[in-house]
Amino acid sequence: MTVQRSALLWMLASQSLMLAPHGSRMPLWMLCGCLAMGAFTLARIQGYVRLPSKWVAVAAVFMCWALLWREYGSLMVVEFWVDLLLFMYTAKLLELASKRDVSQIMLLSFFVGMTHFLFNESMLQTIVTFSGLVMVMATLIALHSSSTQTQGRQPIKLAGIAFLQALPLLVILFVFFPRLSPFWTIPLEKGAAFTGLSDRLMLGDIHSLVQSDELAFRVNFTSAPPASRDLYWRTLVLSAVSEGGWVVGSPPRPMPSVKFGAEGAIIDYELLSQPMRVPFIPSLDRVLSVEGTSASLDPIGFVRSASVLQTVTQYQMRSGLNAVDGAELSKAERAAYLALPLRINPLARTFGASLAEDYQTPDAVIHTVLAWYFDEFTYTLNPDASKGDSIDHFLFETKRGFCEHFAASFTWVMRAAGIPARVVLGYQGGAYNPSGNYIEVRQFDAHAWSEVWVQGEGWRRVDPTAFIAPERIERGMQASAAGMDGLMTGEAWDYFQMRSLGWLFDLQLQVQALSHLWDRVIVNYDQARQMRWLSTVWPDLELEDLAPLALAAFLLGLGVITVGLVAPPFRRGLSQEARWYQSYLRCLDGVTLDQVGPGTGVARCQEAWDMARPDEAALAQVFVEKFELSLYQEDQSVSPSSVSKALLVLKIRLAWMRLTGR
Amino acid sequence: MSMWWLSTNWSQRAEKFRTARFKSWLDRRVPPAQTIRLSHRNIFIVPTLQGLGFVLILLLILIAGINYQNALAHALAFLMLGLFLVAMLQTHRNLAGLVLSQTRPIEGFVGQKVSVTFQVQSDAGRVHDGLSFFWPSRPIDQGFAVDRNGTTIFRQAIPDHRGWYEPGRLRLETVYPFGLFRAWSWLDFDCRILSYPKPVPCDWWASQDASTPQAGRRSSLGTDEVKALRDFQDGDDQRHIHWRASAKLDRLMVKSYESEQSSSQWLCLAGLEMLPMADRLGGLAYLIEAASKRGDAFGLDLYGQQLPVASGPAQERKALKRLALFDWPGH
Repeated sequence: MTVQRSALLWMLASQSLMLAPHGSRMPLWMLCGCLAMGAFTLARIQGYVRLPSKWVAVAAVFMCWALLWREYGSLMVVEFWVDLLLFMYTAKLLELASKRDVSQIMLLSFFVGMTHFLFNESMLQTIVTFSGLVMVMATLIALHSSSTQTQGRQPIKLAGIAFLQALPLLVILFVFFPRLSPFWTIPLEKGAAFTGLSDRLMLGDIHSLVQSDELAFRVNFTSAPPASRDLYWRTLVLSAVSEGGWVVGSPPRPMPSVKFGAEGAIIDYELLSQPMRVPFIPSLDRVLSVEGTSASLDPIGFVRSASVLQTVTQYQMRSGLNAVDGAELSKAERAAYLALPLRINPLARTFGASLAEDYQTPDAVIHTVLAWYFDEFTYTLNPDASKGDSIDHFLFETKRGFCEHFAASFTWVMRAAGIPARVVLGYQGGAYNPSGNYIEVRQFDAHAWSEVWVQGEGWRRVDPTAFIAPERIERGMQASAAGMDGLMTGEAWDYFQMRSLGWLFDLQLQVQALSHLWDRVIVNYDQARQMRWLSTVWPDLELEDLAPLALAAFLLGLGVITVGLVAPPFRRGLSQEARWYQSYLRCLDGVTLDQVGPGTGVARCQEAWDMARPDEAALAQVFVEKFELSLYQEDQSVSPSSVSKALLVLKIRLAWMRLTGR
Repeated sequence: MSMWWLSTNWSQRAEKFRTARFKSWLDRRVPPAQTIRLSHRNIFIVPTLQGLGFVLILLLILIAGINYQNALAHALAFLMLGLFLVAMLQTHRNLAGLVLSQTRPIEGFVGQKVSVTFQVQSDAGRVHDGLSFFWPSRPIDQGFAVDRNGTTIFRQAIPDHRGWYEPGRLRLETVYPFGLFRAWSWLDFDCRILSYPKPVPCDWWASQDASTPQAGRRSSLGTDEVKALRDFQDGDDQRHIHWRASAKLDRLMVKSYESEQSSSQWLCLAGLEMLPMADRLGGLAYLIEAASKRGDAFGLDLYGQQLPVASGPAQERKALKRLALFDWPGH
């Protein structure tokens, strides 16, 4: 191979760093294959093995293609193509022969960097990817260098400098570059499913969800956030029964007479949703308006997105809190919200029908059932497995359940009693992060409750869990989980344990706040945010001004970098020693400078300084010693960098001393 | 298939299009000089094929970023654009500030290697890495680096004709640091190699027998008193071999008639008629070298243009220069 060893080692290091973020996602056999090819190349650099025939690489790629096909079963999955790319990126090592091959791998690294962001857009990921790319540039430097001195850390240093030089252009373009709408829709979908609510409620679904501490969404309020008991994040409305569980169904369109009572407080907020399993976005209580990518308000009163969210997406929302909606029901609606299948859960049906006979008003029926729950039922995170007619089994046998059991059974009984009712799935509560002033809702905050229709009032929220386990609603999932030690398992439990450690919890809050800021400001920097942000500086900015503005700012930045790089260096004529001396003179205070005048030796300056300000002069002692040694000693025992370092330390300590006045 | 990816050698490719007009432009742009400082005036810079590939990947990433509405993919594309421009500036900077000079004069024989020395200094006081030196043709090594102390480059040229041989402009090239850009400069050091005719072995004395005696003014053919014996050298008259001494010492010895020979030897072009026309100057060069090696004095007569008889290295150079620059129809 005609390539230097150091360049090859840099290449392997940067390639590993670029592959690492995909490591946990890619199939195990592929990870092993990539590691094997890396190890093979390492052995080749050491001279143990030789380059295999080119058919080995061809065969490997074909085999990978076939295995990936088996793995994903479709060509329309992003992971398939990304994994194929990654494999070819690694398999190139099997035919590595010249500098050009190394160059090609390194150029491909940039594309691999882009694939990282398809799966993860966090701040940490960005740092990892960009440091990987700095390594890639270091590889290119090591590759093209012919200096025998370019060893050790030199390439990474130069690459870091180039990266920092490119950074201003990145920032300028990121802020000003007009955000275009997609050229074409991408048919590729992501294969991996996200955790989250599903569009049906089988008993036990939410229970498995609350084991997860994964982030669901985060909300910034423009004013003070509401109390935990008011934070009902409605996501889906389940209005039909299918195979023993509640499903979304297709309820008839409601009548367009939605009016709000005076007691409802209007709240504006910004919701940043993580990827979801279902094409619905959580919103607070009665949502009034929503702005955001392909989001629309459903007449039933929740937010739909055009497709299932694949990335972190931001929405501006407005909601009425605890408002009376005053909706009227049409005949078709009424029938739909009363419908129950005939054969399942007969006991619950009979029970509901008997309630309707005993009590005249819906309020009385509701209160009777809630009181019954309160007296005889237990709220537990560890409910018994359901069997047969699950609602009958829960209501009349186990009497131990979780929010989903209560919501599902309550709605069932209400319908049986002739009161239109539906199940609402969503999240309840959330943790307030004081560092970032936002509320964070995780998967374990998932919740289910009921809504019943009352004549003259419209849809009213009834949450049976609030009666049985009020601490769950008042103080959130965390409090109720802490009260039931050992019942909760899985990662969510670790999360709660972590929160109980004081300083670690604070640190965690800050990291989360930073990550939230990143998601809001960087990841969701779209056209709307761009215009909002830029119009705070230029109030009259139009959309079409953006492109020339971007160009002008870019050229300005480029000009600054060009001048810095290409213009002849300042004070070029001076030797290093003269520059040190001048820097030292600038450190002296005015009195001493007047005494010594320009051109006086350092030792004499130091004496004068020591007379005037002994405490300051003491700081310069190290520098003066090193400076004189390097000036008058021939043996080079003092390196130039150590003198520069001493000078820098002197400047910093002196500035600090003068600033603090000590 | 891999042709597409072959590094574009713009600088080499451009050489094919170096028309007279281009050459005159280049002469005005980068005029010949003994010491040349590289700056924006004489540096050319163009992306390599890797650089174009980089831009292609940049555009792909930008399109993916727009289609997936992915802010960080946007950021990556912008970073790449920034890097591309920084690479251009840094590659340019890697050449800018170099000061090249060439020590003169240079002389040599046609067909033989002539050493040329270049001094490369860094005016900016920084390290310039990954430089390749195209002179007279391809670079012979992996490239070189110049640090604060400067460096000396040794190269060899082989003149292909007698007279002033001009090896052409020198190309200094670099793709350092990222290989995305190729910066180069065509430098003209006004470097002319005085190339002497290629020596053609011949026997002067044999030719003298056949030719007119006017040129060969050897009055006393071997009858002078023998001053000393010395080793046989090319060009010695066979008749001067001292056979007895040669047999005794087991190597060829010739009789030396120093006083006579050194003052009386004239080498004339007209006296080499047994050689073909084209080789006659080469024959003279051979004889001059041989005489000079022996320390003999000699004079040169080129169809009447005469160089007075003298000896020593200065005479040898003078004579060879006469040969190199001799202008006569048929030679």
